[in-house]
Amino acid sequence: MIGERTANIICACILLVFSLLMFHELEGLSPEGRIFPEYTLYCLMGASLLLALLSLRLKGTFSVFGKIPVRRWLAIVGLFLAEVFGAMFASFMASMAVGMFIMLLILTPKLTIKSVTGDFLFMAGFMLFFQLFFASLMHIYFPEYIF
Amino acid sequence: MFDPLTILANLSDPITLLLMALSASFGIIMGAVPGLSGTLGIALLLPFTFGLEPATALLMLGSVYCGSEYGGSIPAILINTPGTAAALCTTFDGYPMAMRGEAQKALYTALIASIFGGMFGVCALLFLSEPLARVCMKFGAPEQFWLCVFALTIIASLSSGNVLKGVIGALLGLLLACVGMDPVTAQPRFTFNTMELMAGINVVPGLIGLFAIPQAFLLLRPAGAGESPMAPYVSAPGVIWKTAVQFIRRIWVALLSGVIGVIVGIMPGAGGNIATFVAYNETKRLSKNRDKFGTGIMEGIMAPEVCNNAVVGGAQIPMLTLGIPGSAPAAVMLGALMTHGLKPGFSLFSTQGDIVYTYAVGLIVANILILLLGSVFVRIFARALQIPQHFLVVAILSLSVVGAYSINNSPTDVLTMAFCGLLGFFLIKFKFGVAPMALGLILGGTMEEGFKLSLHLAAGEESTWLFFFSRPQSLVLIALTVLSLAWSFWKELGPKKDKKEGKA
Repeated sequence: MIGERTANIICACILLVFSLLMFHELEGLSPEGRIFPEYTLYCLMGASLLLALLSLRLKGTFSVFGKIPVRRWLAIVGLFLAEVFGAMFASFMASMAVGMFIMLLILTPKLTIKSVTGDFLFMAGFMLFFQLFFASLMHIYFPEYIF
Repeated sequence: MFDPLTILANLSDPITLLLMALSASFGIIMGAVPGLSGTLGIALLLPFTFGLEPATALLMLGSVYCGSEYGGSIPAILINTPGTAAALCTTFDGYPMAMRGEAQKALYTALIASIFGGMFGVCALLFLSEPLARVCMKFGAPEQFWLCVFALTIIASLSSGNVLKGVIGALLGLLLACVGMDPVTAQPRFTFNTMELMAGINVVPGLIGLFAIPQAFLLLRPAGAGESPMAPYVSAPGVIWKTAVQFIRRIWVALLSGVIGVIVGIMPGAGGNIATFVAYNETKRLSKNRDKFGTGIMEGIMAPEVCNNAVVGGAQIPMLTLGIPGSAPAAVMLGALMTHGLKPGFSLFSTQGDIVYTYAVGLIVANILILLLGSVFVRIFARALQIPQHFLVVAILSLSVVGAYSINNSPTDVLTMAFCGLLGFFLIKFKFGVAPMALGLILGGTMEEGFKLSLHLAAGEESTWLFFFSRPQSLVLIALTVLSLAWSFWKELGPKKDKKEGKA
């Protein structure tokens, strides 16, 4: 649980730091190239400050993850990111297949031979769909650096 | 020349009708899979039409275009993920309606609205092409900028009660849209000296990330732990007729959104993405049920769906009469038109009237085919809600990766999608919402381009800033923006004032 006031102030601080970092990125550009993002950043900083000030009178609390088990969330997010990087920079088919199957194993409520077989068939069906629809029909070829 | 017999002969050919039905189905799938689009569908189908008669070829491509505009609403309603950028507004009421167990009603509303919008646009194309094209060509860069500002006023509606967080979300979206080369000066911005960010942030991977990924992460909640983020499946026999009757009772929404769709569709560079925001906002402002928008009401689905399908006809008015496409799919259609030997211009309707009128009337037939196909598809799509939750999570995450990659075959797009997904999850959890950021991301590029081009055009004027405020077309849009904002503030302050009076 986190206080709403604290959460909003943290958000405002992150946004202010982010805006300052982005201002640094605009250095060296001509006024014409800078004008639109610069004014957007000024507005963002102003809105962030206002958010922090208005939050001072807030009281309630809230939970970031709610009823989502944090370990399960972290595991799936970690797996998803590994799947994305593996698919784009190693082997698309292998990373997607392994990533999908492990995710299914983690998320399946009760692991039995039947459910694991179902998970495997679901993953295999999807891989076949990717190959037939995207690669064969649409001519979208996925990255493959290993195989 | 308009020859009804020739048109009838062309459109009654069973092979043509079969090809149109297949193309419309292909278009629906292209719109329904996030990452794929009508533009891609038309481009992919174009080579297969080279050997066909021009009228048949154009009808096939037109069917894909119409089908894709409808298809975008399906994932928007079922899994809160717009299949196309233009379907973003459909999520606002479509998903809450599905969550109430009325997924079939929401899908039928989108279907009927899409068909109505499609036919409305085609009627405008048939009867009002020339005068509308002449009027809308008077809209230039300053109007493009002001139209985006007007569309941004929807933030007040999207983030009711938390407008400041909505504004911050939209500003983040605008900043994200600034990443990459400046649209006018070509200077790289926010690229952190990397080549990958030079091309900027693609809108569609951003939208997939902002909507689909947080939805999958929210589904990680174990079954039975409070309210499920997954819409329930409830069988609803005969709902199509009830939906059609309710649609007719709200016909003013369809007419208003149709007019907005046609007008914005004609304006080059604006397109369906901006038009749907304007239509949703204006419908909400004029509706008696404005407080119920966002909770899952029919008007909230009708407005964007009628509008984005009316854009199809609208965008083709300047394409056929002036050779200027009003949207990205219309640009590809223009290529197809020229490939098949048609030369766009005001004389097109007289010199090659048979083909053009067959195409325009055929779009009405295409919409009827989509209605028939859609009424079958809706039952199948609604069954997707019965898929076990863990399968759905994995399917959403995997399709997001493939969808983001398939737009440009670019790993950067996939990484953008993943980044936006994580950002979107925290934006939802910290009550910023993802819709305002998506709005900023969609409008950012067009808005900046309009702003900078106006600055260049104003260089020859006496005062740069006066140029933005002196054109009559701009003044209309400014007045609408001010009215929209004043109305939102009045509405925001109204309940508070009532509460205070109640307490006293």
